[in-house]
Amino acid sequence: AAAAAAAAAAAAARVHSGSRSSRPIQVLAAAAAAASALAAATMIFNMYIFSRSGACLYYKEWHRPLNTLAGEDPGEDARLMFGMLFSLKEIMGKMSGKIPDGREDTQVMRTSSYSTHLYETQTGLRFVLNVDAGAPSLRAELEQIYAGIFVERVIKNPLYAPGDGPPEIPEDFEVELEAYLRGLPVAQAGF
Amino acid sequence: MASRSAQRAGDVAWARTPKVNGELFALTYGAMVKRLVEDYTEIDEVNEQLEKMGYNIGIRLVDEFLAKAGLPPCQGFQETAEVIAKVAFRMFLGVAADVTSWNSEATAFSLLLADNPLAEFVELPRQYKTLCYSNVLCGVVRGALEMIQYRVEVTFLQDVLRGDDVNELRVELQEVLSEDLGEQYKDD
Repeated sequence: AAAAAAAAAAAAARVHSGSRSSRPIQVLAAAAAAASALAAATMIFNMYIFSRSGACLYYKEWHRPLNTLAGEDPGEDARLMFGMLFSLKEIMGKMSGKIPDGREDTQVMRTSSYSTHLYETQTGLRFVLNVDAGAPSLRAELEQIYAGIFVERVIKNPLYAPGDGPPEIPEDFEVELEAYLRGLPVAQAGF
Repeated sequence: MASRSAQRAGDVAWARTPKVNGELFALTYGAMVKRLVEDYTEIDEVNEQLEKMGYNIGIRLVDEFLAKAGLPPCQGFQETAEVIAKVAFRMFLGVAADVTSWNSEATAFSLLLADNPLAEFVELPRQYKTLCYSNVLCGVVRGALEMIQYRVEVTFLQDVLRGDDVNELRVELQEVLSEDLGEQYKDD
């Protein structure tokens, strides 16, 4: 899908590059093509949910072609992620040029190949979603996953004991999460 | 956040939550308390069990509250108290409470509840006069606050069922908890 969109963008650019007066149109066409390429190519890679104490409550992988941590201790991957989030929060707080008590709320981190979207609840639950590089902020979606799916399916489940470590995640949570992510406009071609 | 906007947020939250029949709620709770009184010999143990149940409810209820009420984070313990009284109590019990009697360090306050929906049909017989019938509420507040890093002690100071004019829950802050990472992150 990404390749097709890129080819379409190249074709559109070629068509317009002929006439000088259509320069603005060329820019617009390229932008439109880029936008549709973006929407088509956003892929969801994986997701972590951490408790306040750093226990990985949930991890799901959809697309991870390269996993450099695959061979090691299975918890290492989650620990690295949480350790980074914890340090990030501290550092961002200390570096804050505006907020005195250091409560900064990192939302998105981008590299050239992926973007990490973060949401931390006041109860210390951290939701981490890694998607394609160009994706817009999925902060609202993470809030919805917390409020609409996690609270409803996991927290309200009597077998879940907050603060005790990795719980048994009920199956209907996974089902609903999957359905929600698949239904997102940004992820249409991503699964 | 001014008290009036907390009140408004409470009304909105109340309007939005699914409702259960109040009588069913009160009668179910009453049946549970009666069961506990029959099972435990000491009334103090019953009070403790009620508090523990409340704690288990509170640690879950707080996420439900944060998810549904959609309020911004509170700026300190005083704002937290207002939100608990005006928004949370209103949302879950249907009646808002009043925050009063702050101590000089602003680390303790009282929640005054004029109507207690749990105790609607209840009269305490004389032999149970030490029973804190609605002690579950103390546990709920304690559990909920613990999940947002406030370790508190909550006690029932005044109880309408025991002859007082109003229900008063005293909330005392013991400690503000700091980030406590799990075992796996501690250096060996």
